[in-house]
Amino acid sequence: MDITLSQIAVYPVKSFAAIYPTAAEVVETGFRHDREWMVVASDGVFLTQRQHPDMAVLSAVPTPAGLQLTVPGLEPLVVPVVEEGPEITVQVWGQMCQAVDQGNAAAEYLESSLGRPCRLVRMPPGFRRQLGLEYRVSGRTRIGFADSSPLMLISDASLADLNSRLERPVAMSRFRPNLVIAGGTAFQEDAWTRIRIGEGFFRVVKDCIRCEIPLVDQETGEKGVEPLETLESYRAGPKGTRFGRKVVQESPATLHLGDTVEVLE
Amino acid sequence: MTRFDWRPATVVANQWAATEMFALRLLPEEWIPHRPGQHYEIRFPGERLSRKFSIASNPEAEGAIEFGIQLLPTGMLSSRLAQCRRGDRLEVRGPTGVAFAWDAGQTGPLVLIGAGAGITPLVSMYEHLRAVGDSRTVAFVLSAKAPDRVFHYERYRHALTTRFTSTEPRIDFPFLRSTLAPVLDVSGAQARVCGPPPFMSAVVDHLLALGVHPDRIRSEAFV
Repeated sequence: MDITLSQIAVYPVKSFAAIYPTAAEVVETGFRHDREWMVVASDGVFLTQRQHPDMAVLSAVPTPAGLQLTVPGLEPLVVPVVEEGPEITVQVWGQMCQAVDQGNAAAEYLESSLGRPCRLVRMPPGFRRQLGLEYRVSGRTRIGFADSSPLMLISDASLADLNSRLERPVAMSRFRPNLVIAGGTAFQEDAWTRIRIGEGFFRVVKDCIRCEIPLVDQETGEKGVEPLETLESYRAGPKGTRFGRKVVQESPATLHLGDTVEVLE
Repeated sequence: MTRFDWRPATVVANQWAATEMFALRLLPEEWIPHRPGQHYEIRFPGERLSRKFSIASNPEAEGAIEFGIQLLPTGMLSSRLAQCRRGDRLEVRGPTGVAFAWDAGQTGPLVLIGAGAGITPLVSMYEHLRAVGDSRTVAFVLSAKAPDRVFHYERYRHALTTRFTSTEPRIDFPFLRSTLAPVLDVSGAQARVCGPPPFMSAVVDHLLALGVHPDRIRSEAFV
């Protein structure tokens, strides 16, 4: 059976809802616009669904007029993209970097939903957050505000395997992959090291070790106990519970839904 | 009512157990025995905001559960929990956690390695062994900024091999080898590692290099 690309997911603001385009451009940081923005608390530390599951239901869509933000109960707000402007020091996983503040309107709009002082920030031009050594495919690879790699991939078959063990099946969105693969067998991606998707070549570098975010229903922002109890019972490893793989592009490419996936190594 | 349902719990004690770390003792309406290394989710009654906290007490201490909680500067829950007084009402859900849990039914010497507040679930394992009178060899290793940052330091100082570092938590390979090799058979050991992800990842690599079997190493990110 053929293996194909069945979903492309881009998360313009870290920890917000995904957008699902039919085609997307892979640039140095992964998909264009992926984790280009993030929300930080007043001390500059990034906010995530780990502490704020409600962030799952906030959405952000890049449009020609700016970034369109939507929070429950309010009309959407389009804020201009501030490319260069006042920078603030922000912190992602203990790593400090500079980011461009996106202004008061965005901050006030998000504060009304998150219930705490916060700022929306964006990667400044030429932003370089280096990948860990084990992820470096070429000197040009870098990441935005993603945790540790430009892209993350999961097979539909792996989710089907997990769901067959759960009382209530869960949606793929809980795992926040960028690339979803149809066809093949459960956990086939564990053994992959290099693949081609359409015109793009990718290294499959590492297991994705799961945090608590899969506990959050991405439609409602409700946090439960599964699927992690079940996942831990059969996917635990020395460094944590594995589900999905971290992926790094070898060069720029444009991917389309339905692209053929070829396992090279 | 299952362990996956929220249920009421009453604060029976709350006191500082280290700088910026407190020991919160709760009496849940229905006590369910836990395995050392598991956690509970805690929230204020009816609120949406909840977080998981590792259990510090051992399952033999029936009824109440003690948590070791770090006060985070912007922690929306930890700062409020620090204010709780005896008699205050909270809600708990758990115990949860499968892979990291450990109990005396598992064979082999035990290696416990933590950083800072990551000592909490390891304390539960250590107290469990003492409570059941198990005399196997245990190596209990901790990276911390200073003695006043160690949870119940006076209680555990004699059990711990502590590496104090003023910067990032760190247990390097030579230190780990010289701590473990003389006291236990590393190849047959079970290891539990708890701390920030980069610390955890480095320590797991050292344990693998020392010959601990991957199936006998489990770690938990403490963030």
